[in-house]
Amino acid sequence: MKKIKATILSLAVVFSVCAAFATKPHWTCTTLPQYWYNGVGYQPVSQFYGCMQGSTTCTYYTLNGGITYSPCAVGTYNNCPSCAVETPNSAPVNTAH
Amino acid sequence: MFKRQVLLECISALLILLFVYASLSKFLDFRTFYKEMDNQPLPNSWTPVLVWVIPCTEVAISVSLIFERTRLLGFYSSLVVMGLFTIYTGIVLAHFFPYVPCSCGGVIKRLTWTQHLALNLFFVGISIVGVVIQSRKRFQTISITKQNKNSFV
Repeated sequence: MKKIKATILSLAVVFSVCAAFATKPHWTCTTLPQYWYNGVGYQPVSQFYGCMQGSTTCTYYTLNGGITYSPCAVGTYNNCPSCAVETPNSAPVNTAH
Repeated sequence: MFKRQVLLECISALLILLFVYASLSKFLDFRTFYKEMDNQPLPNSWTPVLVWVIPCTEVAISVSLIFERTRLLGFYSSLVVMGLFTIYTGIVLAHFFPYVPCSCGGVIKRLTWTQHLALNLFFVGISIVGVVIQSRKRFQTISITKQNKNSFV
């Protein structure tokens, strides 16, 4: 019984570790269509949008056709190109840890 | 008895698979996980604590499910954690919040909220089965030990 237990549990651990590494995102989210949250819902960003300096989430992306959205670029969304001082960056703001 | 033991191992393996995968995915993409936690309808001051507590709890449950002595505790903890996730998913589906981004690791984030609920309910179910079988097993072991003691007297 101990052998069966060891086999089943080892398989579970090895499989889950491999799966976690295999599904680790290896792309930057900015390569996907970007959306911004207007307080009510998510809209595609304008062609010349910019992310102003700030610690909130500027743009979001979706992997399931708009069912859920994940944060991507950091800053404050601004669709005025002349106001944009920062290009979207996939790296979120460095928080206090 | 043998079948029941194999079933218990399979349930443990499934829960370990879920918790190890979920915690490791969070650690591997920690920055995204941190931002997603920030976007949850919880006070942002909780985020620095929650981003460590959640994956570490998942790892702790996985470890406790491996060892016979801590397995019952592992099943109970799994039941509580999955129960909380299920309640949270239910609240989201009931449109209690205006919008809640998914905060799950790896491929689980691709699921819809309804699929999430089904997955959570499945794991709540197997946690309950685990608690029942493991408790009976423990009770039987205690009874046998007591009987053996009495037969010596």
